Amino acid sequence: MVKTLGWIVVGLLGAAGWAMLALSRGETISAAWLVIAAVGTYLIGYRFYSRFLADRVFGLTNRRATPAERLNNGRDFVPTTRWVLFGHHFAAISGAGPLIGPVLAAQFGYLPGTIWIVFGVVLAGAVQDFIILVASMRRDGKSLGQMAKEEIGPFTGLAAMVAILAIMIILLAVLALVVVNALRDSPWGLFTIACTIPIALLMGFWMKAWRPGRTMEASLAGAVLLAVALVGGERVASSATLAPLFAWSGLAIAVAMIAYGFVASVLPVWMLLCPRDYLSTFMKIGTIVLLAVTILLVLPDLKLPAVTRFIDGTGPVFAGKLFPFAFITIACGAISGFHALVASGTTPKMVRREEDARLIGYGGMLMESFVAVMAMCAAAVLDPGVYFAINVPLAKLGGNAVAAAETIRGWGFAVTPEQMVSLAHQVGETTLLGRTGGAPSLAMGMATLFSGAFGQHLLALWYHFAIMFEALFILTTIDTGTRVGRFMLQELGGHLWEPLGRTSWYPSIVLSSLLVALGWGYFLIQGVLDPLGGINSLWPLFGISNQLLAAVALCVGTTIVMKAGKVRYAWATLLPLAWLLAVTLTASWQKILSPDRHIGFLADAAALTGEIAAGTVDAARGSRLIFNDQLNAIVATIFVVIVLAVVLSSAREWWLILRGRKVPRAAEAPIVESAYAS
Amino acid sequence: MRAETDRRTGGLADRVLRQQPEIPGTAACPADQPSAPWLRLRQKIDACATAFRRIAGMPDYDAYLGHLRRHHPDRPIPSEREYFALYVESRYGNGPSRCC
Repeated sequence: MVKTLGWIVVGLLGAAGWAMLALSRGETISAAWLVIAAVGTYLIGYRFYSRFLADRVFGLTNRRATPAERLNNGRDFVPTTRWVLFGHHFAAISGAGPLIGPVLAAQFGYLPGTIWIVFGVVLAGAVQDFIILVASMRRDGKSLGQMAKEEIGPFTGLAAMVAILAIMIILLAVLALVVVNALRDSPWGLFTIACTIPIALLMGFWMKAWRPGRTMEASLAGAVLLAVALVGGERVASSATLAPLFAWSGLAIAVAMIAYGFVASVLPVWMLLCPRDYLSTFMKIGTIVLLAVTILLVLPDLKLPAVTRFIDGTGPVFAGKLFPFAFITIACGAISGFHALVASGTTPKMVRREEDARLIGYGGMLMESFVAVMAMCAAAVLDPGVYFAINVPLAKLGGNAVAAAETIRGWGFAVTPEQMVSLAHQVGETTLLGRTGGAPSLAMGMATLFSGAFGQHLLALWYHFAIMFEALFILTTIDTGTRVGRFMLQELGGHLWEPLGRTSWYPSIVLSSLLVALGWGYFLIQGVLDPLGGINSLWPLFGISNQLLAAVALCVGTTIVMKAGKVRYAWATLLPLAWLLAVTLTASWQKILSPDRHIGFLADAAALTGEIAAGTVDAARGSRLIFNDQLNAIVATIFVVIVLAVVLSSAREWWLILRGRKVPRAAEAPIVESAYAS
Repeated sequence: MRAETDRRTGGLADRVLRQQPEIPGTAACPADQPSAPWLRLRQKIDACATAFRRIAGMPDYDAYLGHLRRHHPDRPIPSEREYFALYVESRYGNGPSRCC
């Protein structure tokens, strides 16, 4: 009785939050309502929908032993208590994605993005993570690719693998671009990030050679050194002799990152990757907790309008209408196909009891969504004028501070050149104008929140702390991602020529690492040289690819649900799948074929051809831009073709099961009674 | 090998082994609770460290020793250095799993 009343209160509170968000037009409202609406919805979704999925659709029971129990080897298969594993899983799925997507989508106002983040996660994103975790757990920790192969067919398995590799390339390019835009001409930022490399090396030698296995000790030392590097960055930036040494152009940073990605993926894991992984995990969890506490402490006002005029498709941060582009831009945070890789990676091998998977899979994704909501808050506490001055490419702003203020005033938001100069000065940068990619404006928002809570004079330090926090784990993604890409390329290469598949054969390692690094490197350089900053073309491509991977995961999920004899519940994955296909196929169609050159790759190529003929664009530069447009269009087409192939081959499987021509039989591991039951 | 470990950790490994809970991250059962307050505090700190290690995906030598002792008492016990190499290989050997 008390419980029921409690849930009614939670539901009413959540509804009140949404009502406040929806009904307050024109006046600023407190972020508290955003948090209440989100958390209320999560609680209801977790309590009722995830319970429904766990009991009815998956039939989870603690009486069935998990692979962690049956195959316990003390290393990767280890039964782990659920809150610890929740932390582990959350640390593995969260990254730069949920932080940056919402910041970019804030150009539509905070409301559309927030609605998608919160309802998307409850009905789609968390469902995907949960079902893939459960499926993998019941198959002894098999990967998404293996499950696609075994449950649907070898062709689908291969298609899924090619899709994952292609997505990885685009993901790495766009994340690297975010870092480049945050660090170019920023001696403080570049110095701090450059320091993380020797710090990681030191930690690596600490725990491998000096004091073997002492990972905790090494990580603490690393964290202290990181703080020193952060404070030291200020000295570097204010020194006349040192500052120019660290004021690199975007292109120089991009080349350095490609070289770093290649080297890091060839070195032994303990040297660079493993220490970085630990360091960024602790940074990530610490900062996210700090951000949550700060938002709850400060409860700032949201200065951004709930909905801006840019929902009509004329947005300056990225082009395209609210539908489908808000749902593409915010990928991680609402639904992210990438999580399917993590949920079928280390986590399923560590679940202690089957029913724990609900907290870990569904709950972990709700937490990730909350991170996205906080990122949206951080963007919305900025003055809208400042938000656009940072996030719109300089070419679109008019090239200088005076013109930028004029342009932004034209959009209906007030900002003065003096304000931007003073803000840049306060955070220890020369300029903040046109720092696209989301990271700098997120850092600015976080710095505003933190300094609001802990003292105004530390704005510069907090800004660079936030930049370091983002760049640190993006760089970790770069080296892990290049390595994962290398493994996949080697596996694919092994089909062509056997020695290429040997993961310990050095020539194959170097060759495939180089190919992967050059692959994402090409798109990165393309983005850096793009007159509109690259985010405009690369981020939607990343969003599309990530959502399409989610579609592949949901196809696998639907097949598994049907094969388990639960056809009547297949809507739980089919509805999100249908929505994702509608969003991504519309977006791909528009990115390839829209007649508006700001949206359509081919339209832009055609317009450039005209400009070259008219002599307004240099022929060599123009033809390079045209080539890039065509390449992007081809990449988008490949994504669509792969996913349609996966969907159609899955649909054939579903048809056979529905018609009764195929006996539904899931390839699950044998049922063994668990000792952890009750 | 055992003796070397014990020398280095001042017998800590052995103490932990006796108190090692079946599941890393959970407290030992009440019967094992040592009476001295500082020992109890020490145990709490150890449990926290274990939880953190597991969250970050770090190797946990003591837990592995506990596992070997319980399930494979016949196997040779690796040194901490050997265990670290083994762990890193099994965790990252097939490519690490991390998201954006």
